[in-house]
Amino acid sequence: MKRAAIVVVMASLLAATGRPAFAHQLDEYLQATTLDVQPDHVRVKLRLTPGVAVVETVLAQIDRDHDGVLSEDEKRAYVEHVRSDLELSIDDRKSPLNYVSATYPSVDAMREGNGEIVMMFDANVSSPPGLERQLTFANRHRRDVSSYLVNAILAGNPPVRVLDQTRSEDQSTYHSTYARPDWLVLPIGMSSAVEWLIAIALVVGGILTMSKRRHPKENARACVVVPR
Amino acid sequence: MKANRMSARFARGLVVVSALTFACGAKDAIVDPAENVHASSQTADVVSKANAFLASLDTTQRTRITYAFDDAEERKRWSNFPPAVAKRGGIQMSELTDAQRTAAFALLESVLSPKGMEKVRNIMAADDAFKAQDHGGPPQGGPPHFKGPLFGHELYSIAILGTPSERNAWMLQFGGHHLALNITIAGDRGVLTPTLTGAQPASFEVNGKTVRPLGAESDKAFVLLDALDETQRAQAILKYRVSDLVLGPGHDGESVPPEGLKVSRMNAKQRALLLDVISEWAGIENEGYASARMNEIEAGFDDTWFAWSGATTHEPGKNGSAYYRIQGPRIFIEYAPQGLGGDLTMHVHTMFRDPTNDYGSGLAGK
Repeated sequence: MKRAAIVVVMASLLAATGRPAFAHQLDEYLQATTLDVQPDHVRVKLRLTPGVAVVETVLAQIDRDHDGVLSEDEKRAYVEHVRSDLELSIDDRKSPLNYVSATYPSVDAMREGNGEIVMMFDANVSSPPGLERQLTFANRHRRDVSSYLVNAILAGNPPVRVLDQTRSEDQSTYHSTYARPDWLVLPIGMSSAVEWLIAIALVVGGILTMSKRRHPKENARACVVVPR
Repeated sequence: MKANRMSARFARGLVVVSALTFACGAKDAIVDPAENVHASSQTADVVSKANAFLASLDTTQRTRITYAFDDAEERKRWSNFPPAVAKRGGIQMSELTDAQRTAAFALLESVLSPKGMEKVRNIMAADDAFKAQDHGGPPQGGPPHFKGPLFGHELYSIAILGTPSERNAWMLQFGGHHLALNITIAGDRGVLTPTLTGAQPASFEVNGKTVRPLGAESDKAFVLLDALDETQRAQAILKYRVSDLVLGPGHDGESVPPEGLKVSRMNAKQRALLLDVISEWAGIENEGYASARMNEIEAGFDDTWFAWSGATTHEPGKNGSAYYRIQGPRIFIEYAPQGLGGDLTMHVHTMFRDPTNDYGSGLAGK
């Protein structure tokens, strides 16, 4: 009942004053996407937050039988609808987005402007170390009321190197060139000077050891003590 | 013999290189001993105030307000939303007696700088101003059963994770609508990240005087932007619109590629101006804690970036409507105006993070 009151307060304020009460852009459907490049896939995570001024149009799209309840079928159908409006390409080749998971808030939370739908998809893309790849992502879902954010997430050890990024003005399209570091970067994450020093010492030590083994007679002669 | 001479030379070279390497790496970790002593005495004061506050509470209140230091759920129980929408842990100011509230604010004052405390009070005052604009209760003809306000200084809450200690890590949380202070104290260090500040309205009158809780964050950023030359501005200003925080609540542990103008391309004056902007967040803490924090930020300053999205001018005395970001090895700041019927200058959210040390993870090992 308190939640219904909150909704009434906010809707009334919006209607009476033309000024939304608080929270995000209340007259927009915020769609924030993160792109996480992993060795064998790209994880696309989409957070959808409808503002209170547009939530009813979003709910109407999900709640197809308009019974006020989001059934599992309706939720799945909406995920498919959103997925059909997304496009991921690697090196100009479209990569299908495979469903991973989706979570929905309560309808009340959405009506309060506090409801975030989270969807995750994976594109099976191999990203071999050292190879530069071009990633393009486009989101065309509800362009009539949406505000978009899209960012590459740096993760992993070592992390993916994003070499450049461009976005359309409204961030509905994103393009980047990325590469996973090649074999010269050791998997333990050689960020500290001490680790680099140890690695150099090991390499040089190995070279010296191999050098001694290659010239055993010379070394032995050097060690011989000639008795008088 | 030749191999032995090579080994000896190699060993000597290794010693020299090692010494140089450790010297270079160690300089970032050196803290002025005088600062250390100051910060230590500061922590002693903070712990004393924390214990005094806890002692002022009854058993039930003390149980409600304290959590385990590693309580992952409570750590992330913060938001920009009002408490009625996004529930906080701990206890609200409205549930404290006057003496208890005095003790709570004495604790806050020991952790924060005078300017930081003023910022916190102004953010809470903005919530009172918002409530006074008939936004605090049901509208005319609204549901009569609606109970409780949505906004106002009484709804801000305080919580403590762990046990206040001069040696072991513990955390103080204080926040509500548009405020989330997550302060981890470990020995002589106080870590203010992640912290969210916001304001709505971003400008209001109190006794005939204009208050802008986050006005300096906007004004100083414009001073910096205006100090850049055309080439630098072209690099700093993003060619796309950023409409909200990228690493706001719910984005712990994430990082994004830096963008904009790199600090290594700024001159000394511009770098000083950028540090002045950063001080609006880092300086929320008391001087002892803030000093160490600024040292960390400055150590990686050449690899710090400044990015801007939106209008490059603003009306004097009002916040701007543009988004900006400051991102470096030890810092991530966002200033993100929020839509309010089209007036982006009257509602703002900001975020302050340290990608290596949010929740004091780098200090406390957690």
